[in-house]
Amino acid sequence: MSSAEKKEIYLKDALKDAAMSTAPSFPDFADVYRKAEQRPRKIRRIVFSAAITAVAAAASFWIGIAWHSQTSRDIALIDSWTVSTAPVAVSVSTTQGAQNEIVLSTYQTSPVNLFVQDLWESSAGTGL
Amino acid sequence: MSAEKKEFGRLKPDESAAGEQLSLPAADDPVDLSLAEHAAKGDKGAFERLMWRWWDRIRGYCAAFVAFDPELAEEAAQESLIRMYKALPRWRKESPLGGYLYGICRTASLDVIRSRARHSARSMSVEDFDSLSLESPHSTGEANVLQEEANQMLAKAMQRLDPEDRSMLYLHEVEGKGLAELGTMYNLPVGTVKSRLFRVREKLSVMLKEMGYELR
Repeated sequence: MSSAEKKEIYLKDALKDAAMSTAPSFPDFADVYRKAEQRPRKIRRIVFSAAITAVAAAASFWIGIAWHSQTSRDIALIDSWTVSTAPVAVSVSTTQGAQNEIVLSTYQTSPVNLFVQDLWESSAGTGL
Repeated sequence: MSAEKKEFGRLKPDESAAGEQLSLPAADDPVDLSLAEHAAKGDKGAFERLMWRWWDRIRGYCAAFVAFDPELAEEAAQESLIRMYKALPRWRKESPLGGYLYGICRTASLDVIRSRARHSARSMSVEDFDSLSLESPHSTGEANVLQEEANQMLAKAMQRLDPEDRSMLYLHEVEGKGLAELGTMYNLPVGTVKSRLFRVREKLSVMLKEMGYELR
């Protein structure tokens, strides 16, 4: 294109023209007020659902904790065993009453406790 | 003025800034301040009067920010008004009202662009801008057609600029905002504003030259 054909753009005027021809002519105040009033409600709704989610998450966490500690209570039932003199016998009770009797030969209480506890834990799923 | 100076306008990095450009931000109009104070207290009438006084500046700025896309410009201007209505009660009187209002327009326009890009309804890609039609069904007469064409070429070139850059250029060129005021508004040092404006103008000039236009 030759310099004679080159067209000119006056930046200030062209920017103003372009802006004014594409921008909206009138503000819609009714829409402004309507949307401004809607937004707090929207925010409140979001906050409320976030709170519900948080409560649900906390509740499921504590239910999980409680459920998990349930197993510990089962193990605690072993505390009800009885130890007799020769031969050493350990009777393991469950909530349904004594179901099994294990005969152990040891002279020390502590290893017996551990053994029974291990046995209980390893057979918790299938029973003794 | 030399041809070179004409080409890239008033802003050269080595050019000593004119006193007017480095002057402190212009004081707000007392009427605007009074209206803003009333609007901040919930006076809808004052809010509407203030917005009418600012309407050309708001809509022009938003249109420039979204690169003269009519749909986005309308959305950005309307969003700006909503945010201004909600934000005016929090406006601190010691901060310049103009900067505060332009700041709201800026974030609103940016959010509109982001939201549009997210929803992929319309992408702001160069390919889309290139596909703009140069035909205008409303043009009458040759002068109008030429003017329309020039505007579309400018819009096309502007769309290839960063939104912040084109809005800054608009404020400087059309609204006559000085470097110091722009620096305060965009949170940039005066030197950065100056070099950024120079680069934007230069980029625009190169793009328009490729389209067969000379920037004045």
